[in-house]
Amino acid sequence: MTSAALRAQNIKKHHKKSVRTDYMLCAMLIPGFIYLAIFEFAPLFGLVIGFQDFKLSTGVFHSGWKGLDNFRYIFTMYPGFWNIVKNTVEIALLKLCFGFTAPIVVSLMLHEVTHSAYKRTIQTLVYIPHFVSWVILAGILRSMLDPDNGLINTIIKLFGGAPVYFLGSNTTFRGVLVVSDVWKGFGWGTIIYMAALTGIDPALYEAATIDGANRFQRAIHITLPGILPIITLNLILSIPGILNAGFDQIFNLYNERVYKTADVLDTFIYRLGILDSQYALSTAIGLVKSVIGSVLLIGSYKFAEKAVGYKVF
Amino acid sequence: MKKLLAVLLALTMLLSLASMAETAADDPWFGRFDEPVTVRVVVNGADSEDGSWTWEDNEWTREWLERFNIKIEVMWNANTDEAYNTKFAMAMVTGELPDLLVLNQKQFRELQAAGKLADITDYYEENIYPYLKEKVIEAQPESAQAAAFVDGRRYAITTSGFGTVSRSIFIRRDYREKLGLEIPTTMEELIDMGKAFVDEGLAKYAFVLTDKVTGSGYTDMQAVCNAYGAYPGLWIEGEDGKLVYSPTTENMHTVLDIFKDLYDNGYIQPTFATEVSDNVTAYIKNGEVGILGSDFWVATWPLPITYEDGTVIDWDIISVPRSETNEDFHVQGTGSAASISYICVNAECEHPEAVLRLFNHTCSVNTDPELQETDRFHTVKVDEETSISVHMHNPTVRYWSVPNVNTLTGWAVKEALDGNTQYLAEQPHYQQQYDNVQKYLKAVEAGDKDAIRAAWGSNKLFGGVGSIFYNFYELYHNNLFIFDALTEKSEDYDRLWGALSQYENTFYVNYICGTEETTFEEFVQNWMDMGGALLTDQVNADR
Repeated sequence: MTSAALRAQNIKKHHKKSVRTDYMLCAMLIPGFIYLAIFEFAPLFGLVIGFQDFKLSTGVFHSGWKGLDNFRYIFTMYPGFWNIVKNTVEIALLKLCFGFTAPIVVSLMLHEVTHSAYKRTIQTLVYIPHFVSWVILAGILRSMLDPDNGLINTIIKLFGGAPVYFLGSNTTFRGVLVVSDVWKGFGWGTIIYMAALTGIDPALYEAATIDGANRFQRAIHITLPGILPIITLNLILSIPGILNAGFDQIFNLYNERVYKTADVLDTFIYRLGILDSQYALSTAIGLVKSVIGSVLLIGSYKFAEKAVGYKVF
Repeated sequence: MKKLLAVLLALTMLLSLASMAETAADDPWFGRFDEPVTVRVVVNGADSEDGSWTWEDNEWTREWLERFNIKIEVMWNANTDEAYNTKFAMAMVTGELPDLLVLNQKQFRELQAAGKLADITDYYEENIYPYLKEKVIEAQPESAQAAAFVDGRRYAITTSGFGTVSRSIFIRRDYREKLGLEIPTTMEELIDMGKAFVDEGLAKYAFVLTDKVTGSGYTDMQAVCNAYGAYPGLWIEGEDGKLVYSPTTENMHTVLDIFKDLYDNGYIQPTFATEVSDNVTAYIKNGEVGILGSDFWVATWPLPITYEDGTVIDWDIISVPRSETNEDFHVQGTGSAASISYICVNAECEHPEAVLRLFNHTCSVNTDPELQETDRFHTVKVDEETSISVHMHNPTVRYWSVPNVNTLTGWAVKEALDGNTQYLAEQPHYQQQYDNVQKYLKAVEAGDKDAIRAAWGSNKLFGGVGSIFYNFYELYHNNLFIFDALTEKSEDYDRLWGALSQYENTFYVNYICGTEETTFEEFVQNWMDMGGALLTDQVNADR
């Protein structure tokens, strides 16, 4: 018997023994499993709506079967659909790119702050936007970015510039999305890095200081490598969310003028499903989105295991 | 002798009591139920904020309980259209439906096919009282009436909102007079007037739009569209006799080019795509716009709230003028299959006749000249200053006016102002509105600014020549209203229409703003490819 087979046998024995000895603890998992079964897995049956000529009055069980007709309609007949997919991926990548790096940079900067009270104040202040809902933030942004009376345009006009219709222009709208998303989320994002930074051995900094390294060199050669595994892991785990471009934010800010660059899968599903009661079509798109998300999720977990040794299961 | 009289009196009383009891019990229209009957409803609206009434406890429900022994149970109510639609969708899924259902065509078709609606053919014949039947329900356009039947059986009472969705043109009189301009007779003159208001520094914009360019009712493209022979949302008969969706015709292209030109030259707000009705109200209040193409209700709000030194700023109101280039001019009315309401009874309702009795009562007290009690059930006067709109508290959310009542009121009030008051007795609504106009005239005579402001809207709606509904009457009388030629929607229509409409509105916004790369011809082709061609074939199947 090979050593690997022996190890597997030992693990199996250990598991059996654990179940026997800790059966009370295992029993405590049952409510959790029941919850998952009822509220997480049973509703998946509703995905069948995507293949039906679904009617509310006849429900899932008595609506007619349409096979792939709903998918065919969305993919081949809806002229803007592929642009919506493109928007979704592009906006998500833009947010990932900027929203991912901002917390790292801020964490590194905060790590260099030695004045404890100052550091905590800054930390608290940057967390605050995370707790403001997009509904409120959208109202604030609309006022700030108004071409006639908004704060930003007033400043632009003060310096002799022409007012910019930020929320109504296809060239500026994505910029607003990314900047506001980064502003709202970077503070909260620093938490995980700040925690990782506390795990770096202070002796490394002391040794580097004795060797003559300045602050910047210490940050580049000690701090950054120290949190690199968590950065990599975070990046990999962000990939499954590539089709989630941020419904709340876009829904509260977009308009028909910027559909070309701002309409994403989630807003499209909302309009089709909730406003127009086309449950079958919206379920079909949702299903496609979920399948792609699942593939990305499994792929990224596998990659995470290989790249940084992070194992989910 | 006294004894004899007493016996006779007692006998008479007994007989009349017996006859009343018999009438009440046997009266299929207004009789009282021996046992309490509960009618379950759902309502799109909130209870009063001050707690003075609820949908379950108000003037109507108390009367119904006392008079008919019918108790109203509100299963749920919603504060917004969106919440109502979501709750109603859930009710359809779970089958927890109220006894009284107000449906659109899609919902009607679904629920009827699923056997959830009562066949009310016999109940309708026996339990709807003659005035409601003949003057209201069966006076609806034929297409609306026909929609109530499936295989010759009646599953609904149908109503259409004819005479309320046409646009009127509102022009600020002071701006017009300042420039010495006459009332425009063509759309081209109106557009030039709008530009002149801006060029001369009176207004900021010639026209204002919101994100809903085709269907806000507050201020949208519809008036200009109609002038050039385009009708947002309507199917019309083409030259070859086939139905065509009006917004895909060249006339719409012309209108879009006009709006694009206005936009490019700063005559429309640069930010209209992100603006909502509140923005429009602000423009009106601030005097930044001098021309509106809007629904009738704008005359009651917000126009009367625009005043200077306590005097309401006056607006001239005219019908939508034709374009010089439009030979076949019509103004958009309604009465389409798409806008029909289906009033139905749940198949599980134990007493469908109780639901119909509520309709009888509502109609009789508000609309029937013989039985009207409008002082109790329409507008209840609290004191000289205040009154309560009790008709808005009816939990069946039905009014049952005769079709096109506002337009006909416009005519009746105009006749009365000319001295022919005999028509006022035909409808309680005629008399009410005539009284309101009289209030305005008296206020003007007395120079009472507050009273003028209070009655200004009523006068603009019904005050004879130049009022909104008399203008509508003239259009109606001269056959200048156009209605949706599509009388029934297919299942494919239900499935595809939402996406097509969204695409249409998005295209218009971007075309006007110049952010659309697609040409109008490409838009039409895309629209056809998305399912418009299929629907066009279907609606023309029998032609």
